[in-house]
Amino acid sequence: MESVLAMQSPTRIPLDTIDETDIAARARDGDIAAFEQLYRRHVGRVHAVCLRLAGNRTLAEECTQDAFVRAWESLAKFRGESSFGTWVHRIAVNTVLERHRTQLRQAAWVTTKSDEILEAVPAEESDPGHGIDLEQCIAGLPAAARMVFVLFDVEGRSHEEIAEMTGLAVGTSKAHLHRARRILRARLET
Amino acid sequence: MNNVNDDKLQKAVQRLPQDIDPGHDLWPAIAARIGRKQRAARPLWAYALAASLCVAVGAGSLYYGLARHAPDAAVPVEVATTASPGAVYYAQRAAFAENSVETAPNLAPATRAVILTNLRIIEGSMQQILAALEKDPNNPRLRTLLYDLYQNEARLLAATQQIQTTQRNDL
Repeated sequence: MESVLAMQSPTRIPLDTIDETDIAARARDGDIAAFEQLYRRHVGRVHAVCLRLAGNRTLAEECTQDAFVRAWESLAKFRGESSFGTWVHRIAVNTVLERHRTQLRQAAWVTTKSDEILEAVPAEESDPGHGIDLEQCIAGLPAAARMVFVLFDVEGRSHEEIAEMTGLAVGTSKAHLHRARRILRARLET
Repeated sequence: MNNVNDDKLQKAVQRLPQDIDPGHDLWPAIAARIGRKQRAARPLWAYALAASLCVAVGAGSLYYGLARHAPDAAVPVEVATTASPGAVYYAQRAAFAENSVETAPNLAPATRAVILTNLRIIEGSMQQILAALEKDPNNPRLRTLLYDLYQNEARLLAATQQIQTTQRNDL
């Protein structure tokens, strides 16, 4: 399984040091340097959600790039009603979901045939002494189950919101969550 | 057992880091893509404006040059244009093109104004060339200029469509 371990960047800018509204306004006026500041502040959070939803580092990096490019192109629509971080995070989620649209359509029915195999696969000990790596377990989930689990349990979205975002029925979203938790529980036992 | 594992799962979820940096700096690639899009977007306007101004000036010079040497140079352009059997068609065509830009959704006001200005320059040039062709129907240079204007108009309308599509695809 592809490693999804975090890599710390030395360029992170503390979130509370500069007035973000002012930076976003400068970026909206075409100031790329200001937009880079926004990127540096939020790339970690954006990449985290892309990585967990996509379950694949390469795709996550593509989606992170796409999200920031789309944010740049849509800055004129950013009114500052929410924080820039919230706004770009939403763009990132939509970007990954769009990439998985086909898989989500196919996941309208929850299939559990392969779950026993997934539950039986032992998780890799990526950090000896600290238990198994949940990130890797999440990455190994079936696509729809992974997305519902990340959106519900990690991002705190409701099933109604998830249904609206993914096009799945609320009941299907609940079934995928149940399935994801069952697989993860089994992996945590190993 | 499930409760124990649920608790274990919940705790593991709570321990997940909020931020995960990518394996390498993505900014250079993002900056390059933003820069490419800016370069791609800007010359579209620069090209449209330059091309239409160029053709307008060229067509104007040519028309006035021809008109000065023509025996009926005193005939106003409007009369000659109106006398053309295709004048109604061209006027309706121009009105249709302008209307499509005026009613296009998802266009910023400033963008719409730039497109309309360019479109009117092109249409004004077309009218001048059509008037000149009334007097000199077989002039190859006039026909080439008219052909170039059609192409510029088509490119401008295609660019408008492209901008709309881009903006519609954004959030």
